Amino acid sequence: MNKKQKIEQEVQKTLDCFDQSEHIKSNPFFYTRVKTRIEELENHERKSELGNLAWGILKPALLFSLIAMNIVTATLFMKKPGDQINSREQVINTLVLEFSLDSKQYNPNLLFNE
Amino acid sequence: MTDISLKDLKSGSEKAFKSLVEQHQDRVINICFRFLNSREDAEDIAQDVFVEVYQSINRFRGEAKLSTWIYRIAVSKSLDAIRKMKRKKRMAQLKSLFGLEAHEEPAASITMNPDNVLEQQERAMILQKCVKELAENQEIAITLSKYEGFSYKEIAGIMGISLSAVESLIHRGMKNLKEKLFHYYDQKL
Repeated sequence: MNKKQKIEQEVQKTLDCFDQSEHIKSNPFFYTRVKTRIEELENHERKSELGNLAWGILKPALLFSLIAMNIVTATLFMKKPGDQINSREQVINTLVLEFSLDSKQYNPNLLFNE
Repeated sequence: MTDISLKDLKSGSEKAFKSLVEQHQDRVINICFRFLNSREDAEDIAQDVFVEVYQSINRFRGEAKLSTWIYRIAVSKSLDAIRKMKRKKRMAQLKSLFGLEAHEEPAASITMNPDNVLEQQERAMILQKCVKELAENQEIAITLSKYEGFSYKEIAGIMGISLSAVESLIHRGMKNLKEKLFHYYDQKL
């Protein structure tokens, strides 16, 4: 028998293993394990559904409060520009009165020239 | 599986689902085992297959046989698992290359092949290795046909291809397989 024939014989013997391959049997608890997995998955899905629901309520509430805060801030900022000047003058007057300041006191040149 | 059972399945009957699992579990585990070469992994993926069946039974339109649909899920899940394992292995190799983690060779599973005789076991492993080296479609067709004994028609249904395409895949696959084995023994003898 030459080498080529020997090789062909080996190849054939190896290919015969297809027919001799044994089949494995499933575990007796296979169904129970599948069932447990399904239950775990369903529990997980239920939890994430609850989470999604909570987020679904929180998201619009958060958005609404942000919009409301923006509106309030904008309203306060743009409210009566004249009032701002008045209040500024009032602040100066109050300061002048409180520290007894007048134009002569805080201008040292004027004091020397007198 | 009769239409009534399918109706029961779609309505969520546990009894119907249990009988479906019991009817197909061995075939599904063996399909997964042929691709994964590990009993533990095969059982794990087979469980995934039935979870998927349970979750998407309402999407099953009955265009193919229910069994064909289940076996298709089994093949696709097994191939996904192999891809995942390969990615993991590549990452581990990369990590070991940069010294991040000690590279561990996966321990050979004692349940890798149930053949008893040592020589037969070696032959079976060589055959398995050469089948794995084939193109993916050829590997699927040959595994389903030669190991699991599915008919060409069933394989066509599982793979979603025509009967002539299956014939061609198996013909070319067997030719390539013989060449690979010839090359192996040529070097060995």
